[in-house]
Amino acid sequence: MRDKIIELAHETEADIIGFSPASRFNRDDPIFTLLPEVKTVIGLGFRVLRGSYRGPEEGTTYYQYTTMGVECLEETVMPMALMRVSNLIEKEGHIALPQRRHPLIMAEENSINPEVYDTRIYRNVTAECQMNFEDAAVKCGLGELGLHGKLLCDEFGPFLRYVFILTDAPLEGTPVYEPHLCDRCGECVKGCPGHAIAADGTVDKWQCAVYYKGACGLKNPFMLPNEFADLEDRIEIIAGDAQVFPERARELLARIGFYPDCGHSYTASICGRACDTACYCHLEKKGVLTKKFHFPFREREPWKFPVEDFIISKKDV
Amino acid sequence: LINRFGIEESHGNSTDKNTKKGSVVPRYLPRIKRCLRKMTELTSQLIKERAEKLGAAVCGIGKLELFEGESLQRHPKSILPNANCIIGFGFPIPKGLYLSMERNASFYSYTNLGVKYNDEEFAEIFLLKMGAMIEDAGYDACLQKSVPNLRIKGDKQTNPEVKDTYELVHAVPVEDGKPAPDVIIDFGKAAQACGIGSPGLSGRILSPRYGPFMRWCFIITDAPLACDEPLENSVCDRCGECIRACPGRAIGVDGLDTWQCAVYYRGAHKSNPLMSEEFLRGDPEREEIINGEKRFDAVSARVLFPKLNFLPNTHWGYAPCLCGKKCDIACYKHLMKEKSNER
Repeated sequence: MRDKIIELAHETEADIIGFSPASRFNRDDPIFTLLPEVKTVIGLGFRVLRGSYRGPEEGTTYYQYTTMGVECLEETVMPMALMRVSNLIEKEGHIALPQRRHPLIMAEENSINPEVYDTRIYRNVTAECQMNFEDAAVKCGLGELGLHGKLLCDEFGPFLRYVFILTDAPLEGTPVYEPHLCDRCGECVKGCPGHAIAADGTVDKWQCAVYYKGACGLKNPFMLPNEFADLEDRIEIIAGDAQVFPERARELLARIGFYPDCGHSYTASICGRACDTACYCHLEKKGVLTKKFHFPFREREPWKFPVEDFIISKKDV
Repeated sequence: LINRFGIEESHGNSTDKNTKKGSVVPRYLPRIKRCLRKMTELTSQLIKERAEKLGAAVCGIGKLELFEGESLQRHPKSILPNANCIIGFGFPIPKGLYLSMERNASFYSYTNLGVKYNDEEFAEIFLLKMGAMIEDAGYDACLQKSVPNLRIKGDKQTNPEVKDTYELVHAVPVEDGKPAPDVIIDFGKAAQACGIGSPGLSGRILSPRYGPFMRWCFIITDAPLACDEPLENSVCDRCGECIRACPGRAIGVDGLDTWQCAVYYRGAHKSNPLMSEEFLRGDPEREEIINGEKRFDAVSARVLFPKLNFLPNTHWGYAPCLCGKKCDIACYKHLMKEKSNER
């Protein structure tokens, strides 16, 4: 059955397939709440096309990354693969529980998912059990965690999204990565225009959300020169130097609207996933990615507006 | 190394560096098929064969030289500066969906399947598959699905197919020599460059084989592919059938008035079978509106939109088409008659 799963997963556009025996998970892991009979967790990884990042990299188009790299994968392609592979497993006489991310539901009381509208998130929903996706991806051998907590894989670096199937079928596991990709170079830390990633790799999700949606004027071609004119620390915000704790982040998110809705409550990534592209460029330069391109992703310094563009006089307020 | 599928591994994963210590098993067994595919040479023929297999009825590859003189806001090279060509794909809309509208039997299926499903699901999945094939060969694939709800800076028109459109009025170029984002390519010009269609008088892209009954998407790539010849002659002979067919008089010899179209597309004309006596009751302009005589602009159209609530919008905000696409049907019949359309 393992081979059949791999074949069908490839057919449904999964790029990487990994298997983890349930024994790799602690007994209190959510997978045992979701399916107490679970014997194997199957991870399906889907690349985000490198070309999808080209628009924000050039600063010329933002629509196609969020629609094709996020929304279409999460809402159409990955669910389709999950359902087809799950049905195959059940046809073979086993239980299959497909698991995808639910971007608008979270157990935490005070957290956020930068990719969606803040106000549409249902928080504190502990009754809806959800897996730890990053941990499961590592255990399934899909990749290793980079400094900023993103999964990195040999082929696509950080340009990957993933889903899982829990099953009571006992299947041979995939070797877990021996970490070899992330060298803690700190490019992701430097790449974030909102300084949302600390030197130790900890990501402040609220800070990330605010800057994902474009609060950094230096990397946002849709921001007016007098943006945040009523705020005393507007230049700090625009330069990405302000620290935005949850309440402040909520205030800022309520007034940020640089780009229209991308469907399914996803908001456009105005930062262009700068942390991931910086990481990808570093890995590509090191030559460790197995998926090679004829031309490097980045051949010159990324564009950036000068902060002076946003300095306004009092009469402009 | 021979993997467990009996396939000899020749890709980078089989090197010592990427192999677990003390093991001859490469780390990435499950990806064998793709890893092998990446080494294959990408040709125009391979692309066209796969496109057909995945559901595209037409596929053409266009030279970017044909975009010379095009605005940077519409130019493929603004998206991928080292692009070599653009690949165009067309998906037919079943004629039955038009027939059911012409017979006043069903309208919603056209919007739901012919428009929404085609553009938001079918084309997206298709593009991701085609893009993966191109990137497996080591070239970038910048997918270009339709952008229904956005207008580039300076474009004051609308897209009648969606509940409303948003112009990126505040956008500025990020560097000298670049256009303000977003860059949205002109699908009509792209189809013409790829040799698979050309814009008609009504603004619709007309395929030589399928006329206006088709949806489109594109990929901009740096892959050095052999290109097709562009369409030299327009499919549209400017017969004016679309002009005469539109119940809202939205098409003129100068082309489509998108705001006028948006109002009548969603059913402001009395030929809309869902319209009752209650529609605009008491409005002094009612007769003028339902007879297709009133002229609309962005402001007046947006005022009327909430009252054109005959059927729900679909997901992604596509407005139900209640004009029955009379322009396209008239065009198709004309092309069938005059040009012995192949289909």
